[in-house]
Amino acid sequence: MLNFTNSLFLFALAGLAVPILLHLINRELAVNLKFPSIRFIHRSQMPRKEKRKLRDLLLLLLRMCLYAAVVLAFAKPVWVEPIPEVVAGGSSQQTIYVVDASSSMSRGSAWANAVNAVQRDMTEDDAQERGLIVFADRVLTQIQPTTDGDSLESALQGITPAFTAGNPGTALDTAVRLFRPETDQRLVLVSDFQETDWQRDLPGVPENVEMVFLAPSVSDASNIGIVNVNTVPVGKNQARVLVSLRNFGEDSETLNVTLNGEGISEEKQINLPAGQSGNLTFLLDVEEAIALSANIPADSYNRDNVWHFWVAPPPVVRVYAFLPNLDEPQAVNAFYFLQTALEVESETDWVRFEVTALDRGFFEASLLEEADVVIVPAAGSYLRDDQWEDLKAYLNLGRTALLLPGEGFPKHFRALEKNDIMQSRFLGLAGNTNERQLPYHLNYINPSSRLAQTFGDGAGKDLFLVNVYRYVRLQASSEDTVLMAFENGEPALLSLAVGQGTAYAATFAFDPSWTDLPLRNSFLPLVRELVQEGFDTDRLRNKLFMEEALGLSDSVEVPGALELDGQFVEVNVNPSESVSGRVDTEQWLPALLSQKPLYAKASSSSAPLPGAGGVETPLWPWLLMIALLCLFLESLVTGMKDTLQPSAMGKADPA
Amino acid sequence: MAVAYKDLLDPAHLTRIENYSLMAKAAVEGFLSGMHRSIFHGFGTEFLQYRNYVPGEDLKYLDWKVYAKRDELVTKVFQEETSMNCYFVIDASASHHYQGDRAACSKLRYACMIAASLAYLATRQGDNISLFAYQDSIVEALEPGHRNGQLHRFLQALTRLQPTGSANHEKLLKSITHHMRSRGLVVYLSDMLEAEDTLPRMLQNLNLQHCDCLALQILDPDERDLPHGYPIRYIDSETNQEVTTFADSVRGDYQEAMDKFMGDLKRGFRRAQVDYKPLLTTDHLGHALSQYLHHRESIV
Repeated sequence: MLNFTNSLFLFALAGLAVPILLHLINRELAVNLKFPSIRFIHRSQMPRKEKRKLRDLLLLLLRMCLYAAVVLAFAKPVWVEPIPEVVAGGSSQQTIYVVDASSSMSRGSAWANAVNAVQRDMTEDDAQERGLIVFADRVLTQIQPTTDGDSLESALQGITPAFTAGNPGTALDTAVRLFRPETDQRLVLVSDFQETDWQRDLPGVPENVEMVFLAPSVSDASNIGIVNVNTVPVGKNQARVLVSLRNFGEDSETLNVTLNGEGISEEKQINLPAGQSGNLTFLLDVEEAIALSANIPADSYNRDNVWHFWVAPPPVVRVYAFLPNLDEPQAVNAFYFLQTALEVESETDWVRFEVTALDRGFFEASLLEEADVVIVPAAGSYLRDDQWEDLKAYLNLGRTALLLPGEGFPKHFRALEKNDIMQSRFLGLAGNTNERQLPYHLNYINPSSRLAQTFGDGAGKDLFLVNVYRYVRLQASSEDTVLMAFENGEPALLSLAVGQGTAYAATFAFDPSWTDLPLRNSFLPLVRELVQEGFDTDRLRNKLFMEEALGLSDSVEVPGALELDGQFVEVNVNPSESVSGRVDTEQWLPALLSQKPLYAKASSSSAPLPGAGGVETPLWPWLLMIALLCLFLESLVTGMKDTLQPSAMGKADPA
Repeated sequence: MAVAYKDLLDPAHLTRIENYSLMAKAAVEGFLSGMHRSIFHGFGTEFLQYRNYVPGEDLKYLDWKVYAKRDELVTKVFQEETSMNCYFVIDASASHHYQGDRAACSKLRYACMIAASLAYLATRQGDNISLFAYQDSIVEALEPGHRNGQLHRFLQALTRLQPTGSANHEKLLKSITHHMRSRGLVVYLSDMLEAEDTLPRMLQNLNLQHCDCLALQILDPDERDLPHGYPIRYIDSETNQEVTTFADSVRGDYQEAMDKFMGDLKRGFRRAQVDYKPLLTTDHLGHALSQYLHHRESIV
């Protein structure tokens, strides 16, 4: 079977018409030649062109072949060996069982019932060949249609539901491909038909395939699950643990939630009404990172009764501020305000900032590399050229810098322009300290920035009341992102992309002579969000579900709190598997499957799904060889043509 | 590897030498070394060398002072000096720009190479050299002379020639004839296209000026056989008229007409008692040089 990895390239085959058209349009044109005298040269009939036509036809064919070979090579064709037939001669009916082994199938006796349902169907069904596909988030087991029914049963007996959510799409697509065309086809879907698994984009099933839905009986007993656990630092050595639970049952429940870990055992009680969520908080003393689990008593679905997580002291974010001159009041003021805002204890950020002032001599590349964030508060004019270079190199590493102007603002912004850190153009100063009666106000926050989330809705009211008495006017370049702007549209805060990193350039100093922003309530969240806008706090902590963790590492087999490559990773069962809602298998699901195209038809260019085909042989190297051969032959024929044609145009004058 | 003297006269070889002076020297020395004799030393006014007296020679050339000092009879040999002028008349019209695939140079370049070689030879023999080049008017004119620098000026004038415009043979040859005040040899270099009726008559007039005339017709081999095998729009270099044709179809008629043209030209020059030599741009320069020497001997 021939498949194309990049089938869109096949549209380029339409370009084959171009050489044909050129061939049809092109005719042999007379060459201009300046000749000493045409006195004895008479007009004549043009020669017969059979030879030329033949040669040109050969050239046309070679060029078309060359073009087609190149286009097909780009389309990356692969030859997939067809799946060998299990039984020679074929049989009249094939049945393929598609069995759901997602985590939700571990609820009560659901899996055992599913296996029994398959066995019962095999007994009642008179199909000559039966195949099996067991899936969770991917196809776990695949048995091609065979007359050996025992192999299916033994395969099912050796399987337990996975810890992952279900994704029946790939399994359905694979199952449909396993059918032989000439047989009666029967597809048996065995699943709890959980909404979260089946209400997704599924491939279609051909109309000639008979579909049977077997839903094993699932206990209706109540189920309460832990849906999330969050930890936030409290001071330097404490952490608050927030456990979120949900009652998926129809009765109100009261239960104990315990935290267990190394030397830690805490328990609290919570009452959850039917269908409601609730939170519990625990305050823990934490001196080092420890793995904990939140647990609730057993119920009908036990995999959501435990949640693994890490508790650790908040990671330190080192902030270096360049403070070269303590006699510079604006720099000292800005440093003071920023230090206070960053070092304040917060229960909402899982990081802790440590702000260090750097004197002039310490602002160098080797020291900067230790910093997560660099602040230049009203001190840019003191930086030497080599120090700007160091700062740029630091930003290129993917770090963050906050650049604030001061009294030496012209030099500050000229240096930003000169060092290609800022692409916007410095225009001058707007306002002065004597015009406080007419302050400027902010009225724009970039909606795609992190600041927009913090200051969205009414929260930005205080920020928009900030008075700015003077600011540096910039002509914003399209390469710089305006994060905040004044009422007149001029930028107040720019995000400057420098290599992998980001620099935030304010157009006014954080000093009372420029603005009252540092005295406003919005200053603290503004600074902290701004610093974290370019600082990925997620890299410090990873929350994964089982299906995501399996994609990252094969070593993850069961949920747990792990340390992978020096990072704390929390792997848990997807809470979507706790949902008890079911899809309608009598009307909605059959209609959905019959109206959809197959994955294979919808995306014929995609590579065959795992287990759906046989050995793949890439064909593009052969096509490239054909293209090279055509190129060689084309050159040969063209060369012959040129040799045959006297070089009338050789040294003669161009007419 | 030594270069054979014949190679030195091959246009394909000579055309690689950009400098006319070097080119002319290479051609002439090569030509002379092939002749194995020197016939150009005479008894002029410029002392060249001594040689032993041969009984029978005129005693007036004996150097008596040498005889008195050494008791040897030696004869003074002088550089031959003549009052002969050698006029080179070159047609530099646009048709001389053509260079076919087989030729190593254009027709004008070939004409200039011949003129340079002959001028070098003439200067070496003590003759005065003069140059006239014309298109629809005279573009270069050099009065006869043989002093130092004359050859240099001659070659510089050749270097400046660019083939453009159409040739007005009748008008300009009349004009040039007025400048030829003394006897001499006129070397006329042209492709002579479309002038088989006028040129023999015009060059015959030179005989009346006591000038012997050597007409060298320079053609490209393409003009003889029209070798092009594909449809070509031929554009006349001088008139810009066009004719589109397939050479294979008209080659026979063309060659026939060309032969007739050459025959008419040959007959015309014979009647006018003008020596005529057709040359192709692939021919060795030796043909022209030997023609020149033959004529000079007959004059001197």
